[in-house]
Amino acid sequence: METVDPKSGEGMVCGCCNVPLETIKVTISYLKSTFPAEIPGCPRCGQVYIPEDLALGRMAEVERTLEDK
Amino acid sequence: MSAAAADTGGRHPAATFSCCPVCLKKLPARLVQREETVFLEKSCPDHGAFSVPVWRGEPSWEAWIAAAGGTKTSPPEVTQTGRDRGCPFDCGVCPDHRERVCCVLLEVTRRCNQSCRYCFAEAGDDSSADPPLAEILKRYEFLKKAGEERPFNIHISGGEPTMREDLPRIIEGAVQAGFPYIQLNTNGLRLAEEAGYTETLKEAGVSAVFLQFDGTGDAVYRKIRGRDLTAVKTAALEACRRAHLPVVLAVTLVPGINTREIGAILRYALSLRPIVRGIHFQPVSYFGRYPAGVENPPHVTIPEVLKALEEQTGGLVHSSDFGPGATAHPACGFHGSFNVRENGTLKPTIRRRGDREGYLSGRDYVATRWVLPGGKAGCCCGSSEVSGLTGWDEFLSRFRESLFTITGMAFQDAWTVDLERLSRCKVFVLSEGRKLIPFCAWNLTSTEGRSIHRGEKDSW
Repeated sequence: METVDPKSGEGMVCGCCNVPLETIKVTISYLKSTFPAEIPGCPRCGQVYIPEDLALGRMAEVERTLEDK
Repeated sequence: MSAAAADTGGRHPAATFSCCPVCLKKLPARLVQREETVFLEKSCPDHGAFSVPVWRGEPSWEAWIAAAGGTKTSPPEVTQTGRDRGCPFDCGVCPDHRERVCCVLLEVTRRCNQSCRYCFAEAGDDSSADPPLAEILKRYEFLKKAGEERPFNIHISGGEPTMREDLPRIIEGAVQAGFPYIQLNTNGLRLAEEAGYTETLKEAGVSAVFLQFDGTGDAVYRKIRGRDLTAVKTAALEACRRAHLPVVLAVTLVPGINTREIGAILRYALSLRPIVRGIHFQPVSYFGRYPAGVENPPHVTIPEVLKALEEQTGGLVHSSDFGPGATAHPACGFHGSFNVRENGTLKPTIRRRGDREGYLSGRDYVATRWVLPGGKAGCCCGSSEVSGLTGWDEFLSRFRESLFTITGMAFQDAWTVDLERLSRCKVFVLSEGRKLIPFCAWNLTSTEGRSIHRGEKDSW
């Protein structure tokens, strides 16, 4: 059985489609800035999962930078 | 001409205290607005009345102070001196100070290889001994203990710090002590003249060079610094570029000498991106050494600098792009942060205020804007988040490289000092007696050349 790690998104399954999440390409957009990134998401419905590490790490860093805090 | 007390929006009282420029006696003072100018007015029983402009033009004083309304003040948890004679005599930090420390200047020498006509430190051929390296390392330990929640940003200053042969050791000591941002304040002479020196400083761990830079031609340098320096500045900047050592240009603005060069200096700085990360304007303050015979010396105020930035660049930036600085009382400084577009135009970044403690905001602002992407203090590498998400890193790197800051600080001299502002200062000098003294209190100099704090060694 694969270990599930909500912090990294590893081993997570899409609640709607019941398929394992994969690393998918998405476009991140915030405060009129846009850039491509790869994050865990459902290959069927396209919903993404933001792991805690990402939310508190890179994503927060981008937010702070864009908001000039 | 109508006279009325300045409406400070309830955030800055019209009634304050100041000092006599002649004897430094503490005096009641008032901020008085006449038309578009706010004057600081005071009267010394021995030396007469003084009226000095501290704010002239738009944005108005009221609007500017109000713009910073959401910023919380953060009184220091630990103070080092008691209440005795009151502000500005009790510094150390005293119990009445209302802000924590953001940046600390360490004056590592009083010697200098220039003899500028204007010098707040009055540096030159001072024969007093430099503090030994071991003493500086002890001061780092003291500062680490005094740093609330996070180590301070360190500014290695002087005199001219590069006069010390052990400067790389001093920088390494700050790195080893754990300070996240170590700035070198320099005139750039040694950086320009000694091959490999900037690389040595970079390897030692300096975060950014704060380069004295007053203009784009020698006429300005002759008037302010007493010699031609354009070639020196150019060579110093090239040396920093080679060493990948980020630079902020520090411009002393002297009315009638280089205030018409503000736009040209900004364009020059932008042409040297990304190694030049920003430009910092310092309207001249009459501290230390300045030309003799100045009775009521002319001051450039913040709105005048902002207006000049707009007018002299043909609207490349607008005064509305700027707000109160994060490292001082709102009337003490301004800042603007911009993304430089590929076509060379500047897009102001969005700033949200008020939801963080001001002193932390100020420390982080400096530590992330004045370094290069991938550099130590603003580094986005080496952390432990999810691997493989290079889009985030690339975006951060590109975004940060395109950032350019335009900031300024109007220091307060014996004419302009407003003790309400001084009590909210976040830029400190560590005295030899290991007291933390607000920058303007440290440098405050009477017309007779006396200081209150500079040189004190008493408390250790």
